[in-house]
Amino acid sequence: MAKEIYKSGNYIVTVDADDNSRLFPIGKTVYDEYNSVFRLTEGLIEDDQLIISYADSTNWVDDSAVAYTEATLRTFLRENTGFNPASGGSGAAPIGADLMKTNQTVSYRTGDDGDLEKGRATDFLTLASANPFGTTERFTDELGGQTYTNQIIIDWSTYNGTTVLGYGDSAFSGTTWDVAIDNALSTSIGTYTSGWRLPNINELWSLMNMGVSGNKGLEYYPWTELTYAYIVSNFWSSTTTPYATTQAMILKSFTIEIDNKTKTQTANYIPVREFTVTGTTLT
Amino acid sequence: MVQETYYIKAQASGGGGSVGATLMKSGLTTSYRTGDDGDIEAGRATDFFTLASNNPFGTTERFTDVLGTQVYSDKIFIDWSTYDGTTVLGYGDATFLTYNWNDAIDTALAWSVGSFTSGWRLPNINEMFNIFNHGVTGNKLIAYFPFTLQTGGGQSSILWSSTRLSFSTTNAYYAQNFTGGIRYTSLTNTYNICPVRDFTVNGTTLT
Repeated sequence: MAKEIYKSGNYIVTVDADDNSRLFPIGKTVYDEYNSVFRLTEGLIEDDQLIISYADSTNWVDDSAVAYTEATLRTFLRENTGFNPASGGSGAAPIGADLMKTNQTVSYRTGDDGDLEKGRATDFLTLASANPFGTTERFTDELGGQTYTNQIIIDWSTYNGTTVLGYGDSAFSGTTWDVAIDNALSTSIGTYTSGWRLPNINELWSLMNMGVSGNKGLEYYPWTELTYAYIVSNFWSSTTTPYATTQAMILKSFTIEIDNKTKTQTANYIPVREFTVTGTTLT
Repeated sequence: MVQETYYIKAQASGGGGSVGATLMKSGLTTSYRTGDDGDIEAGRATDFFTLASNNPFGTTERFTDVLGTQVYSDKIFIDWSTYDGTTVLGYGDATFLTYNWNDAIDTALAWSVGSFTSGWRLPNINEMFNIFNHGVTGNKLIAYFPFTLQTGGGQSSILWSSTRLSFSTTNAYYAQNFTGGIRYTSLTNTYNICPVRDFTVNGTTLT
């Protein structure tokens, strides 16, 4: 018989191939993914779990006998699980994320950024929990190491359980905004021959480290492992200035500022790409 | 070989979950060419104002007041894009008064709105940049609802952050609402503030 998983009232109901039925209270159930499986967990500890491999997704149906795909099962689980273990009770899944820390760790007075260090993660370079490679490093190469042979930097602070952002190195010569977009779109690094683009201004700003000792916002490891990015002053973003469409937003790495620049002027760029994460394989 | 379906006893909670989050969209939705921000609209959520799933009040609105509505009687603007399951950021209104950086921090720390009499502070530069909407029609990137309800804040040209420069410590960063810029200036200059607070979420009660 087909295996069933569906929502009924405040529960997820599952019926497996042996006709074993289970109820997962929606307000007490979380799900996550690892090694190509979905894992439902009821409660915090000492409760049963249900694990469904990605490959098995299509063998499950909903209460209308409609078969799932891996994607629709993921959507179902995301919409019908999630609880608040810290407060014990909102019943609502996290819909956002705390903003990342700026990495200002020197305090100049009570109540300033360096005093409060508000934000997500242990620090700017250290995640609060392990990335798929089992380390807490925010930045790794695409193999989870610190080698950066391909000059690709993966930023695990952007990992949502499915995709993660990775950045390439900069060319050293400036270009106009149009050429920067064209060049970013045609970027090819190793086996990652497509999918690159010019980052938007949010994606560029997320890399700025307010704890650098100098005035260059990218002059920190592992960016210093790349050939050019950390010694380039201005980066184009793909974001047009909303009130002056002949201009685009730029990141001024040498002063850690954001400004506007006429699109026909020249600046540098770094390409960005969304990598799909399956276990420890990035595609 | 992964087993197709099986039950196991949990060892502990939490392992293997996501360690981060996709960055929010910039808000720009107009495209000027293939491959630009307005074309790709990369980022989290349905759009700048709409969450991909419900906030604890059962709506997909990114911004609400502390009661989950769009009334904003106490001029507190909750940003559910920052909700981590436990806490969420809320921005307060401020008068149109300007302060030097030290006074800005003191004023924010002493801020009190309704029953939320403590816990306010000056936002860091990431928290200021976070509410810039690059899809506005004018030149003020915080001039969108609900921040248009603010007396100061979204109506101000420059808003202090709590972040000093690491390489020039007599300066601090500010958000330039009127240009979308992030810049720095001397601590002695006087600008506006938009206090921020971490709210703890229990069900639909924010404390």
